This record gives sequence, C-alpha cells and structure tokens, in this order.
Amino acid sequence: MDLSVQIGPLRLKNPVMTASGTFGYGLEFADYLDLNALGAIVVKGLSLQPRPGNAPPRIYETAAGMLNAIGLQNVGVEEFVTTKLPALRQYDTPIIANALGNTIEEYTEVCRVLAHTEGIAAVEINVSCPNVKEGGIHFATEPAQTGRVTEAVRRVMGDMPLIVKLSPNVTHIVPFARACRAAGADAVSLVNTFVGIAIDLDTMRPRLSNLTGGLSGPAIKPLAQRLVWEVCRDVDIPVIGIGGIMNATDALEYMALGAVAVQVGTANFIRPDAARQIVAGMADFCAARGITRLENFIGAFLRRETS
Amino acid sequence: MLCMEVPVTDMQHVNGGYFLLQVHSPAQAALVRPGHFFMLGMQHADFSADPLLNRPISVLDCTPDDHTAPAAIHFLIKEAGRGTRLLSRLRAGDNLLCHGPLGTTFPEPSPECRLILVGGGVGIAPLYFCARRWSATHDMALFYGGRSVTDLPLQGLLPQTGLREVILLTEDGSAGRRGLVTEPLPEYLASNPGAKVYSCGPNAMMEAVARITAHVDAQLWVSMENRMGCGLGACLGCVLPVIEGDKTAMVRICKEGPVFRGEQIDWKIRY
Ligand SMILES: Cc1cc2nc3c(=O)[nH]c(=O)nc-3n(C[C@H](O)[C@H](O)[C@H](O)COP(=O)(O)OP(=O)(O)OC[C@H]3O[C@@H](n4cnc5c(N)ncnc54)[C@H](O)[C@@H]3O)c2cc1C
Ligand SMILES: Cc1cc2nc3c(=O)[nH]c(=O)nc-3n(C[C@H](O)[C@H](O)[C@H](O)COP(=O)(O)O)c2cc1C
Ligand code: FES
Repeated sequence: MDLSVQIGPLRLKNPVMTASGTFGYGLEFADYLDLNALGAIVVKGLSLQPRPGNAPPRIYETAAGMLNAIGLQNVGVEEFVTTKLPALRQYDTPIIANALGNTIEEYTEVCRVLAHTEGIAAVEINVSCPNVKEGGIHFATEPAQTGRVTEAVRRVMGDMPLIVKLSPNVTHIVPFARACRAAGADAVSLVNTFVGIAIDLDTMRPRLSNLTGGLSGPAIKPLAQRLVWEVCRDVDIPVIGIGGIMNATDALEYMALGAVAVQVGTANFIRPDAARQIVAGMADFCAARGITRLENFIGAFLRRETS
Repeated sequence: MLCMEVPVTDMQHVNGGYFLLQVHSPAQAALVRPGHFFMLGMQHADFSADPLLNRPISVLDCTPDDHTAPAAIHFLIKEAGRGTRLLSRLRAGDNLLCHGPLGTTFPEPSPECRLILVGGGVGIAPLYFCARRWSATHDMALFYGGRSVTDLPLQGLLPQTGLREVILLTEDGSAGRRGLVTEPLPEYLASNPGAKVYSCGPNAMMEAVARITAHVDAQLWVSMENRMGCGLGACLGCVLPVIEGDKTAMVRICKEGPVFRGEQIDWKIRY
C-alpha cells in the first residue's frame, strides 16, 4: 500500500508531519519513535537572532485544549543550522524549517540562510507575527501583507519548496490562500493557533503572563476543518491540514476535506509517539477500505459533495 | 524515558485528599532515581480529550516485586483539581499512561556527606524517596512541615524510611512542634557544617530555606514546579528564569530541572 503524497515539488513517504513548536528540534523525540517513520519533521520557529520568549506562565489548559504564549523562544537560525541540524540530517525524513520575522527583511534573511543549507527540504513561513515596520499589524491579517512577505521570501528561496502557514484569526481565509498562490507559494498549511484569553476570577489576573495565547488541541478541530475545507474547495493550492489531530481518524478527515498532508501538534505532548501511531492507523484504514494509494483518497468528501 | 500504558496495582486514600498510587512497570522502574517525575495520562476510564494534558507527578518510591529487581513505582498525589481527581478514581487493574522517568535528580550523596531534607506538604514525595534510598548508608535528617496534621500525609509511613532524625512541625501545633519548618534550620545547620540540603515544597518555603543556607556552610538543591505541557523539553511551556553563571536564562523545568542548585533560582520572580 502506498501512503506517499506530493506537496508541490516535495514528495513525502506519508502525509504525517509534526507541527512547528510541538516537536522541539526533533531529536527530543528520538527515544520515543523512529523519526524515519514520519512524513516530515517541522522544527520550532526560527528567527534571525535567538529569542528569549515570554515570561511564565506560558501555558494554560482549557476544555479539550490548551492556550500557549511561548513567545517564539528559539535558538536563532545560525545556532539551529550549526548545532541542531547535523544530528537531524542523519534521518531519512525531510526536515522542514519554520521561519518567522518582524520585518520582511528578517523573513528573507532567515530564509536565505535556510535555502542555502544542506539538509533542509522545505521552509514553512509563520506569518502570525507583527510587522514592526507597519505599526505591528500582523502579516497574517491582510491578504496583501501575506502576499508581500511570501513574494519576498520566494525570491530568495531558489528552487526550495515554500509553504505559508496561515493564521485562522481572519474573517475570510480564501483571499489569503489566493495571495499565497499568486506570490508563488508551493503550499499553505492551516491552521496556526486561534487567539484566546483565560482569566482567574479569584485574582482577576490573566492565566498567561502575555494575557492572550494561542488555542490548540481537539477543541479547535471543527474550526480548523472548516477553514481547510473552504480553501480546498476554492483555491488551487496544496493544503496541509493542522488542528486538533489526535488519531488517524482526525487526520483522515482532513484529507477527505482535501488536505494533501497533515501536521500533528499538541498530541505529541500527550503521547510522544502520536505521529507514528497516526501513520500506522492510516495504513490500517487503507487496508480495511481496500485503498491502495492514499493519494486517491484526498478530497473524498469534496467529491461526494459535488457529485 | 518511556511512554507506555502500565497497570495500576494499588490505590490507597490517605487523609486530607491525598492518595497513594502504585503502578507496575519494571522497564521504567529500572531507570528511576530520587527527584525524577512522570507525566501521568488523563485518558483512562473512557477515552476523552478533556482533561487533555498529562500531569507531572514525582516518584515517591520504587520497590521490587516478588523478585529483586525494581518493578513498582509509587506516587503520592494531592487532589488539586480535575486531573488529580480523575487520577484518584483509578483502581487496581486499570491501565494508566505513564511517561518517564523525566527530569534531573537529586545528586547521589558522597559516603561521608550529611544530608538534610526539608519538605512541605506534598513536596515530601521526592524527599521520601531520597530517605528510602540513602538512609541506611548516610547520616540523614528530615524536617517536614505543613499548616496542620492533615498536610503531613506521609507522617505514618516515615518510620519505614529508616531516618534517624525526623522533625515534624505544624503551624497550628496539631502534630510535632508548632511553627514553620524552617524555624529550627539555622541552628541545626550551624551545628552540622558542610551538609547538603535537599528541599521540595511550596516556593515560599524553599525561598526561606535558600535564605538560610546562603548564610551558612551548606549546599542547597531544590525541586521546582511549573505548569507543564509535554514534560520532555519540546513545548517550552514550563520555563522559569534560572541563573547560569552571570546570566539569567529561560530554562525548562522538565529538562534542565526540576532539581536545581538553590542559588540558581531567582526567588523574586512571581508567576
Ligand atoms: C516536577 C513536578 C512534580 C510534581 N509532583 C507532584 C507530586 O508528587 N504529587 C502531587 O500531588 N503533585 C505534584 N505536582 C503538582 C501536580 O502536577 C499538580 O497538582 C497537578 O498537575 C494539578 O492538576 P489538576 O488537574 O488536578 O489541577 P488543575 O488546577 O485543574 O490543573 C490545571 C492545569 O494546571 C497544571 N498545574 C496546576 N498546578 C500545577 C502545579 N503545581 N505544578 C504543575 N502543574 C500544575 C496541571 O498540570 C494542568 O495542566 C508536581 C508538579 C511538578 C511540576
Ligand atoms: C506550545 C506550542 C508552540 C507552538 N509554536 C509554534 C511555532 O513556533 N511556529 C508555528 O508556526 N506554530 C507554532 N505552534 C502552532 C502549531 O504548530 C499548530 O499549528 C497548532 O498547535 C494547531 O495544531 P494542534 O491542535 O494539533 O496542536 C505552536 C503550538 C503550541 C501548542
Ligand atoms: S513541559 Fe514542555 S518543555 Fe517542559
């Protein structure tokens, strides 16, 4: 049975990747699962300079989910390339770097380094960051802004596949996916976390030092699936589905809605081998349904909807 | 570290909302040292995504089964909210997701070293394990305190630790001496120079211990807590500012800790 999928120019042995920020730099998980069994590994978001992140508390559990305000703590792109990547490169699994910045120049600088680094298979840019040069408005909240950063990054990336990770905190997602396609992105991944708040009624203080945080986990799955469905239906660009995937069923739902691949996030915290289990569950599903090529299953729900 | 479903072999409710949970897991037990913790799963009973995240719990003890190798892992848990309440409903025969052992450990004391344990409330768990491991070979004392007798859940089990000296204190005088656990410490440390102090309990207590050890000839290790997402170093959710040399860095409690040198902690930080 063939679980492999195609994301633009990138061929993956199976559609299950790990989501940025939930799988460290990958090696943290080597004790728990065979990293070679994954479709791809997306590492923690990288900025040009190291970032210390937010003050604690940074996480808070909510109903069937969690809020996080890590503040993009990371070692910086140079340190990643010199100290983390060499050990990761030994695995036969594509490494996708996740890049972020507060200006278009920061994005292009980070991506330029990554594009010239051996062992990086693709770059995913996280556009859920404030643009400090334009009054802190997020790159992710106006299609034109998303398009501009995508276009600038595309120019420095050469042939390397480029994925744009979209924010769900917008009124209409489709124009963002269109802007990415027009700017030359090879795929979009959606979604990043939903912005939320939690407070303590006794102390009248926020549960997170940052006040707001990003909601992830099973709580967001229906919201994320709606967005994936809209983009898959209306825009001709490969979509990577993310949000609340805990098991193979969740992952296959995203694929039925049209996603060519998925990313597993919060589930890695609960069972560090979750992504491996999901690959196994997909194989079982295909065997039970007589599916020989999983790729043919992509969009099964969309086809049913239009027929 | 291993993440696996293991059978619960015993559950005993102690006073004051505490309970003792025992699981059978030879593979994990073989790796356990005093100070280690486990992330315990929430998905027993019926599968549910709520509560979602595993809960960090220190190892209380690790004992052999009918053979001689370690096999049983013991936890002392206080009902503090939804997750620990769910754990309190486990029964022998249930399966529990156990991820560990995780984190840093209290250093193995050198043979001639005098070890002083200072614990508050449920913070007794890793110190009890230290006592069980080292009391036969080392000169050790335990200072154990809480607001009231119901905050000293392990009181009845302390005789089996083999500790020569156990000093109990309660703020209301309902067990042991009346007072804070830190009150007798300055004098005790002054007459036992060169001791190692291992402490676990509320932050305010550990901060007071740190203030005392800073002025005497003693080395302090503390076990810190914070909310945790993954327990294995991936989410960066559990960090605290920790002093390393001349810098303060955001350091993961689950990986670089939970056990730190006392002087590494910036006690001024409130979170
Ligand atoms: C290294 C370490 C060792 C621990 N060892 C023990 C032990 O041996 N026995 C014991 O009874 N308790 C221990 N705790 C505390 C225990 O993890 C919390 O009491 C428990 O997670 C509370 O969960 P809850 O769902 O019952 O409470 P809730 O308040 O409903 O918890 C909500 C969320 O907050 C987190 N949380 C709340 N309080 C704490 C806390 N103090 N520390 C970490 N996370 C917290 C929970 O994990 C959960 O994600 C330890 C904590 C740490 C970090
Ligand atoms: C603790 C934490 C840290 C994250 N860090 C990043 C990050 O650095 N970059 C990024 O693009 N997304 C980040 N994310 C978002 C995830 O990659 C993912 O999009 C989101 O969690 C939804 O998936 P899930 O419900 O499966 O967790 C983070 C999520 C969590 C929970
Ligand atoms: S709990 Fe995830 S890094 Fe410590």
